[in-house]
Amino acid sequence: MKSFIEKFSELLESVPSEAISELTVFKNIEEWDSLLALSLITMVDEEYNVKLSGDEIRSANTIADIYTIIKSKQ
Amino acid sequence: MNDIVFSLAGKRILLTGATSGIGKCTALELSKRGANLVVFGRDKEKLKKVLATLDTSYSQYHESFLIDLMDKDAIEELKFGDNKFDGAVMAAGINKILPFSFLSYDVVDEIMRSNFFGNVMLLNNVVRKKLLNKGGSIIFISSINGTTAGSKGHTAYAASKGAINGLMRSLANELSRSQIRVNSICPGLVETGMFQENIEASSANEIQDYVKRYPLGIGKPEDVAYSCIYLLSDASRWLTGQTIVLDGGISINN
Repeated sequence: MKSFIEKFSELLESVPSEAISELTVFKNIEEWDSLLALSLITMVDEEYNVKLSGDEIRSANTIADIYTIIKSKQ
Repeated sequence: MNDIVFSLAGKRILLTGATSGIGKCTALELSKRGANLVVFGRDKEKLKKVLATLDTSYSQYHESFLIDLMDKDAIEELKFGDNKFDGAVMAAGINKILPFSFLSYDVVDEIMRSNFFGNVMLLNNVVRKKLLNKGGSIIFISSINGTTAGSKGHTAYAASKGAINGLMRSLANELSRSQIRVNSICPGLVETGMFQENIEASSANEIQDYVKRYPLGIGKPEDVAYSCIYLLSDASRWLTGQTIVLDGGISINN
């Protein structure tokens, strides 16, 4: 989980990594948009070999939710 | 309007990307209008199936070539025989939806080779061997991402389609002395396998919102095929060097 949070933080431009935790509601992050969603899909595909769908991201709220989805698909 | 002007009867047309999406549909529609097709694809089984579905009501003779357009040497060594072509539809293409920061040299290389180099060098082989008849017509299937659109995650794809449009204009000028016309069709969102990839990269709601921005809705492969029929027929004999934006009106809705 820690490593996932780090990788997630690297996708962000203006939010310091300390501000991100597993309880962060990622859709409330100011810079969250469709490109970040696409970046998340690409990162998860590269790092975890899991294909997240746009709808799975939509159904999740926190970073922990995303991590749970990744684990369930591995 | 004289229907003969729009007919493709007796014309011999080369078509790449014949095994899926716009290429596959176009091959079928052209055959229904009497064209003799020479289809290119890289999947043997799929190519066989496409060949079997082509219409032969005009007693046409259709041929197929198994080739991977990523293979530079295979394109170079390709032997077409002596029969000439009256037209070409360069429809082979792939897409990989990736944010720019995730692009790699290999991904850009793959997209450029499939969408640009493969089609262009195959055509180069045909032109070099003087296998295009006077009055012929060449069509590149480009994209609105090669003209004015800039969909997120499409940087390499857009580059390949923009490159096609640039080449098309210069080639149109060069081949005009043989009365050969060269144009590109730039479709917006069309319901194909590539469209499915777009859906997977977005959420259903996002796609629905995007689709709503198309005044005439999103396109079907047939919509592109019908434009190809016009561009290959003698009805478009005065049309060359153009990027034809075929997008259900989305470009006027921004």
